[in-house]
Amino acid sequence: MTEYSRRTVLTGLTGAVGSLAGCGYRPGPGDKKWETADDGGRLVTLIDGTLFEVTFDATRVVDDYPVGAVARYTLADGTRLGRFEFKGVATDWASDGAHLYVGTEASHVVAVAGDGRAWTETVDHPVASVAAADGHVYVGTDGGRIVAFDGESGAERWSKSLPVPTDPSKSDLPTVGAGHGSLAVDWGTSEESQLDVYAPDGSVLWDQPLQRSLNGRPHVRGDTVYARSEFLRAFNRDSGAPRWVNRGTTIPDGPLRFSRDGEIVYIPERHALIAIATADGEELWRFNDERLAAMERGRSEFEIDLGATGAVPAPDGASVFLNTKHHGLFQFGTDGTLRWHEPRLDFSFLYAVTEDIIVHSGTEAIVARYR
Amino acid sequence: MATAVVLVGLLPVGFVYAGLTLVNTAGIWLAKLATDWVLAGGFYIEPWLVAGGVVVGFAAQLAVGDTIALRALDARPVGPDDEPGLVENVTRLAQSVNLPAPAVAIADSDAPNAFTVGRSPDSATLVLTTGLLDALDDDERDAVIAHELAHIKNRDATVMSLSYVLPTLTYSLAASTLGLLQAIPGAFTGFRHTDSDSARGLLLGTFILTVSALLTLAVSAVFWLASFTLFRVLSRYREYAADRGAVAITGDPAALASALATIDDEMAAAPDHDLRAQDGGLDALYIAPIDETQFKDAPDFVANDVFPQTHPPTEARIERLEAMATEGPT
Repeated sequence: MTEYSRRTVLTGLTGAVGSLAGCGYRPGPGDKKWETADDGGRLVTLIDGTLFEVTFDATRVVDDYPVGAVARYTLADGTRLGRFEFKGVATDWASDGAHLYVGTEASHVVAVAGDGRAWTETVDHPVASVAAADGHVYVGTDGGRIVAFDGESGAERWSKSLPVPTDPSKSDLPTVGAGHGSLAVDWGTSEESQLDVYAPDGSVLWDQPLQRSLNGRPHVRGDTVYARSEFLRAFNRDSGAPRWVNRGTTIPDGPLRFSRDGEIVYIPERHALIAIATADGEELWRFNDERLAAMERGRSEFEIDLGATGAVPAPDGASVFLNTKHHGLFQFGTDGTLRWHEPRLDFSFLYAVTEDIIVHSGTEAIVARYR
Repeated sequence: MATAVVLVGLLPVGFVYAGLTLVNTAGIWLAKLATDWVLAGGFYIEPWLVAGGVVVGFAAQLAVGDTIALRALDARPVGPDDEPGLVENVTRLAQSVNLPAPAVAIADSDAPNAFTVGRSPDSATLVLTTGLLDALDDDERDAVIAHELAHIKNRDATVMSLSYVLPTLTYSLAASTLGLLQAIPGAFTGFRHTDSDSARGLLLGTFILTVSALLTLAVSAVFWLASFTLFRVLSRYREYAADRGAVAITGDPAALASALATIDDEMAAAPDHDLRAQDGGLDALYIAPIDETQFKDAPDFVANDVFPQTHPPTEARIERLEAMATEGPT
């Protein structure tokens, strides 16, 4: 039993006895609610009220591949609901609100629903990236193929071949992003790079040559496709016409996260969290080393490394949480005002935020804390 | 008086909430110092639980307080067969004020004194020391018995027992904490050859223990001072009332004045161990006070003379009784 687990049991017992006895500890924002007993999981998402953890067991091997797994936990108390095992380590994952889709190094696509139902399909090569939207799951493989499956049944809908990357760099492999009736695919060889946008039936809506492959996956949100090639760029989803370019974010490499109403896109970079208006690409605000230095009086911005690792917008749309490596967990309003800061909450990954819970990775497990 | 009685009930509640506040401020700060826990919340206790705890504490004191007091003095119950004259007098005087005759017990002690214990007139026990029975004549003894019956009639034993709960609790806590503080330096002298992490942990542990003990001591001491002062003020007030009650029963203030004078004289000559046997909360119930300065080798937690005495000065009581003898009771 880990130290976290012991504390969970102790806190639970204290809370239960306290509730019965009329006394005890009433947790505040940031206090731990529960943690999972298992370790090793790192990729976690919240789907339909269930926490999904993507993990693997390096001590067990099948056909020279470690055993990968998707475990499901209740959000209420972290109880494990089930575990679905497959061959190979997960290379990418995506969800459509009903399933978690996982691509593996062993050329499989695995889908697991909140109730535990699952299907597995095989593709030609190891999976490079996965995206899901509109009842479809899209997979880009190391062999340059794009395959679309029915999200519910796993039946293949269509597939396409792209030029096989000649550069062994991973960034040239097809990277897919989907949403709102379209699929965006970034691919490249050593000679050319391109952004293709498809309709759900596989027909090409438009394509756009790129100077270089994108940083991270393309995103489709509303009627806009967002791509990060040198700068953050927005295109009309249907026509491909450029909408705006934000030149204030040079080579943004953090994952894009959108506010609930879609009006703000958040980009966590190592030294800043940047909020950009999706309507015109204008920067709304940023929390960076300079602002952090102002909070920590007596230190200059040059001494400080924010170490932002992830941003998760709150489901109510009114705030966003920022996870950092060295300075704790922050909550900002949509106007950039600091609402809450707990410097003790340094952790590697911030996974999900609900109305009353924050889920992140602990030392060895998944941890849920009160908001 | 009503204010004082309300305070007897409210002080324990205040003590609980003061402790809770301390835990939620300094306690959480210290816990954060020692761990990486967030601890953004706070400890709580429902008001009904505090009220219930105080009621249970009071009930326990009433249930077992008299037994403990009698055992502490090794008082032996006596009946009509053992002390026919004494028991008959107690019964007669009790009947004269419509009280059920209390049980009578005698404690072997050269210190002349008397007190009553019991949660109600029905369960009261009148305790007399052998020193008192030897020192007083019959009229003086009746006056003392009447004084104690007045205490029973006024339910003083009940009130005083309740008012002594918090001083006992806070004194015990403060004394234990003081003992802990004194033990801290010695407890860590063996850890001299440790690595830097262990040394840091040891230093932190010592700091946390010391600060916790100091704060606990401070809160306990403050509430002990308050509750003990209240206890003594209450006791002092009720002695005058019991003196007046005794005169109403016997109609002989001079006998009680004479008894008090005799007891005061005899008490000064009583051996230390007999006086010590009577110390400890019961002193508020005695007919005459034990003067702590009588103890020749008595170091104390806090000098007793900073508190109001449990009893008014015997001279003042005698003066009042002599005035009653001249003018009649008021």
